[in-house]
Amino acid sequence: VGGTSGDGEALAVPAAVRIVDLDAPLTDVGLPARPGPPYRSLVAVARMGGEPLGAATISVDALGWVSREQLAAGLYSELDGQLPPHGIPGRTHRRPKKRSRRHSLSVVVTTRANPVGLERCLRSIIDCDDDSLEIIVVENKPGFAPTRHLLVERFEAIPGLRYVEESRRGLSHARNAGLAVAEGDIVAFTNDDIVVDPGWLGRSAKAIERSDDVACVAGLILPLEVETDADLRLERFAGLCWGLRRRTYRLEDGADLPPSLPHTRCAARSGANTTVRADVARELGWFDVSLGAGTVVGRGEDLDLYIRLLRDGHAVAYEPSAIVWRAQSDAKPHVRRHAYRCGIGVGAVRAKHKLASRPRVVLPSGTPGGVRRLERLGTLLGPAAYLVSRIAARGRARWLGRPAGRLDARRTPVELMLLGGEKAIEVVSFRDGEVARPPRAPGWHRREPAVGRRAAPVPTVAARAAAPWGAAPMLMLIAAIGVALVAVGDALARSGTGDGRMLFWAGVMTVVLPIAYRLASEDVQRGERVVLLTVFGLALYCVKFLRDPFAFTYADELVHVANVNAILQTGHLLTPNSILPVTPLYPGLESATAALASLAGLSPFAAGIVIVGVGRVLLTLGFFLFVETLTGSTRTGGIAALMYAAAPNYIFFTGQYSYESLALALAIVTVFVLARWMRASGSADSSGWSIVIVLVTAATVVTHHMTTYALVAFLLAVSVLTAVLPGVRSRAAPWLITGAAVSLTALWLLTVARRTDDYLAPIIKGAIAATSDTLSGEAATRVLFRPSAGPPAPVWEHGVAIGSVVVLMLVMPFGLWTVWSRFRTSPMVVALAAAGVLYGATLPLRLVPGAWETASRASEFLFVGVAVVVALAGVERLATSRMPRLGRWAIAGFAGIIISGGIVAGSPSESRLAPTYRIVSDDGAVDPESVTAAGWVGSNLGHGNRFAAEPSDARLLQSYGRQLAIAGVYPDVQDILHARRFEPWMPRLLRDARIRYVSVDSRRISANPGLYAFSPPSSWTAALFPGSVVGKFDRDGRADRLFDSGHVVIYDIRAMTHD
Amino acid sequence: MTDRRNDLLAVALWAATAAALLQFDSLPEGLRLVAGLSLVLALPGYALSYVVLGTRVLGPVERTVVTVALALTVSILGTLLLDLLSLNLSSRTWSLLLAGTTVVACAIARRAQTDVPRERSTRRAPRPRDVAAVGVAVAITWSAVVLARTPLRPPNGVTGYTQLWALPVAGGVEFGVASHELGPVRYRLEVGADEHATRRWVRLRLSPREQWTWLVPGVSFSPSNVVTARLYRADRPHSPYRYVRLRVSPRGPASTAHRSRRTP
Repeated sequence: VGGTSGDGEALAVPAAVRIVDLDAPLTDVGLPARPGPPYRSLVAVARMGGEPLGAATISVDALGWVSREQLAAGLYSELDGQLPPHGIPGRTHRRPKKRSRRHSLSVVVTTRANPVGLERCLRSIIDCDDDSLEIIVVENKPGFAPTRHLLVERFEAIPGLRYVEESRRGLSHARNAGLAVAEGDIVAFTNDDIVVDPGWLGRSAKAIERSDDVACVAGLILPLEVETDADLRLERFAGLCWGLRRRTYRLEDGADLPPSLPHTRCAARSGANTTVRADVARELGWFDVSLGAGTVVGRGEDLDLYIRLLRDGHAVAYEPSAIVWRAQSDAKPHVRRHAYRCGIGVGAVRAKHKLASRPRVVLPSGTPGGVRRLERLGTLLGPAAYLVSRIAARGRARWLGRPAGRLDARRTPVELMLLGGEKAIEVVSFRDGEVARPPRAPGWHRREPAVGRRAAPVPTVAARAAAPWGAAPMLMLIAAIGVALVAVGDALARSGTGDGRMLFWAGVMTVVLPIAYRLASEDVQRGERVVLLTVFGLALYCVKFLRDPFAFTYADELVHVANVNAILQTGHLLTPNSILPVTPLYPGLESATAALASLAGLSPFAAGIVIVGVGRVLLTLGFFLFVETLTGSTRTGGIAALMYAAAPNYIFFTGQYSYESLALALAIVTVFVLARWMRASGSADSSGWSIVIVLVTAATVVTHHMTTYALVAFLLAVSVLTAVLPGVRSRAAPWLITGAAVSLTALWLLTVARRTDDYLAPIIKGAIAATSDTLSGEAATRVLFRPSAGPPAPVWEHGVAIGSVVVLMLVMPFGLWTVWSRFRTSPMVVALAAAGVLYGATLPLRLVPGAWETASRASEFLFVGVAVVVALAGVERLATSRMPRLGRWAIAGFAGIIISGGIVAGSPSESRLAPTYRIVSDDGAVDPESVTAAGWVGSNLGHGNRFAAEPSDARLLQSYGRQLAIAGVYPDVQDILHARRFEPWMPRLLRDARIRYVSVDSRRISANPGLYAFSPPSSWTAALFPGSVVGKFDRDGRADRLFDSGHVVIYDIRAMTHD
Repeated sequence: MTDRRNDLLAVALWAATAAALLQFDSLPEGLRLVAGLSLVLALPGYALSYVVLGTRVLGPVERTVVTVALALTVSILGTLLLDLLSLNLSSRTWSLLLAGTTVVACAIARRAQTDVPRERSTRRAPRPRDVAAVGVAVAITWSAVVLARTPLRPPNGVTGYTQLWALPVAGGVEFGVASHELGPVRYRLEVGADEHATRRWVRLRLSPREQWTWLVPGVSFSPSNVVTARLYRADRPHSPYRYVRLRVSPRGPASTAHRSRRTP
């Protein structure tokens, strides 16, 4: 590779590059699997006593394996003359000597919005095992929160870790900022795309201490792997090492440059492995800010420093045992561009130093002529580029009244920035050449006042002393008042003594607005946000619970509680459910509920309330953690989790006891863990996260079909986006996880839930057909705000619902712009943005009679994207707002509007408040008629009888009576129940369906008539079936009329069907 | 500094104890609730989180979310496994599954970890007014729940109802009346054959949620073996309020013995 492996003709790509320490016995080398084609060769760099001897290229078998014998043979053939006479291995392993303590050491790691690479780099530096090491991370993109998050979350315990932000773009500015802050006598520079060898620092320091005139040491830079032919060409052209022989360069009298200094390679970012004496570098004038990455020149700052050092009488050493590894960048290497840029760098340095001789350019044999010509063109243009860059730098310095690039911040104050009040980082911020207050990234706040550098090692205790819980207790109290208002509204509705709707809205807004305002605030600790979100989630869950505090009343709830009863009764899963046959095939919710009911001694209702409540908390906190992980901002996470409450189904539908309520929470936790996995990809953490993902995904798969499909779709989208988005590390693509999720889904569908398609296909086909009919004008559009039962919504609710959609659509573009400008390299954020856009596209479906419900159900998933996008928009606007308080109120108001709109769109006006379920009597309370009828059936007729009934009664017979009740038209019991007289086919059908009992309900109301105390509203017409309909079984005479409670009559029809 | 391995040991002991306690049917409700909640919602997930994620930097919020999600996952997938193995799903099998998972996971996690210190908590005691605010909030929420669960007087127009039934039982017929009216009601129940003939009748007065049953053994009222019962309210004595009709098998001579039972 580069100068070590000769011509490299035997090198077949992809190739891995590894150090082989000959101090220890040789072992087999197993190369890890890699995305794409497997490794074909291994470049083994032999090292003995820490000194690299040379490199050998060895073929790799199909499994990525190189045996010890192959390794020895390869090394012998390539390095025969340099190996010790007693062969390989022949030496006892020696522990590296500890570095002498003559000088203190600082490492400056420059980075620009690359936390993944930075983490890898920092971990390798920490492995250098130098207790007194000072590590300075310089972020050249101030306010880029993920870097701060990375440092406080993963490296908080590392002593000597410091964080610097430099606002002026450019590698030289960043290195100068690090140099300004560094306290060490010796400062080593490296970049975030570097992984250092454990002996790097020790050997660099040792080299600089070897002679007093050595002021700078450059080390060996090796690639971690050579992936493609383009990589190989790049390495041949610009391999960043200067050979394997230790050298010391000094300037001879009258010479421009040391004759052997390889200039081209100096101008190719060898500064990533450069160590200098700090005082010399400062006195000499720092790095030239007109050169280096981020300037017009783009290269040459390292070569410039070497030349200045040499001309100042110092020596520059090359130490090949000081090894660092350069990770391949995601961008494909372009040899031609690289050659051109190097040429510019060399030309600029030549112009600056007025070098008489043209710098010696080292190009390997076989370099294409075009590349050579580009390099020469760059050399010619270099002076002009330097001139432009210098004018720009000087102009800026003159504007600011300060010399460019010269500062000394060793005694300047720092700020302590707190992340959520739990973790802190010491920040030095340079803005326009002087120390400034660091910008506060979203979710961070500063500790005031910051006095002196390293002022307080543990700042969090003092910062939280005044109010350790923040405003959470007071907001909890306000939320409780909101809940109480809703309860009073429900009480008014149940008793019919007043209109509880205003109290309902007042209660909901009392919960939403203060918490939204607080979450929008910057100066809120992370723990407080977590508490507030938990309170928020539970308070809105209470709104649903207070509506139905006695029993489950929603249609789906009754189906699922019947499944729980079946599990508890039979001791097994998958007991058929005649009302909704698909539900027993997804027994996740019922399994957890039955286990809790059985173990904790709770009723299925109480256990279900607990499980769904826990799911609601998981959903809220999982959402928060998910967005926080993606954006690095606790504030964005908090606002996004709050905004999700504006999903039309949030309060009532996903708060009900139904399988998607739990599955949605599990899916959100899954994507949160996936985000953590992607962040930790390649590290030791990733395998653990991937196990969690697979386990929770499996639980989701057996809990709900549509949530599983949505989750798989999201995983697929993220995988594809990771592969295709530019600037994304393709290794982080979750293909294996996606494959596992798809496999689990397919396995479940093929083995257990084969009937899922029978359930979903008609719904989806119906939605498509209805959309087509509406578009073609064959069907009328749906009238909004007019429920199938009950009065239409008040006019003001129309305005709120439409207004919420309008403001949502107005804000979305801002969020999408933020996604584009800041997160377009984040596959998950891009996928979420796409989901948000898709949500907007589904809104017209609400005008289609046969498709609106499908669109409504899809909103549960698509609104995740909407919440993230609008949260990004809000936080971005707040960050630049000159009136933050007003901005926070604007966010709170926005949240209030869209959550109100979601409630209006998701639940009819009449169904939000409590119905008359249980009413008081003189001597106790009375339950609804159909409920007690179902209970009577369960107590007196035994369990598992086959019933024909109206849909709502059938659900009650299933859940309360534990019967196998059949409703609807498959088989067509509905027509039998609604017919005025018996037809000959009816007994046959009842016999074929093995119906033993019939429950006849005289009330003709579509929505759960049996669940509530009956009081036909005057506005409803024909509330009861005619006597001819309900009396036909009596007229027939063969049915036994067993039970009569007024509206509900139960017949035993065995005689009728067997005659 | 405390060793986090001790936490795992404590969790394993807690799970084992909870499982053992749950085998007793007479376990007090409070203990059963705590044991059940911890086994289903926490302990297996906590132990598993240390098996799969080790002691890596994981904040308390993240740990809590992962713990609960994994605990639910264990409940869901474990129940599925028990069913696949054709084991009966009961409190015994569930408690053994969840406690067993917890204990095994704790053992694995403890083996994988050595000397993992737990950070000393820097949390400070909350201010009295914060505690008071939280306490008042809990009280208000509790009051809201109590209000919601308190039956109220129904809106105008809502009335109660009464159930009447007739069930064939061994050697006779059981008639039953259950009142779900809003106040005490007086009834008259007439039992007869076919559609008209009245053989027996009885007067009743039932309070709300009170039930009365009447077992009439060896009934044979008519050649057609059809038994009818009509329930009249005292305030509407000429209009049947409820009506049932049942065909019975002939059982020889009718007995005059009958037995009635009143339950609250």
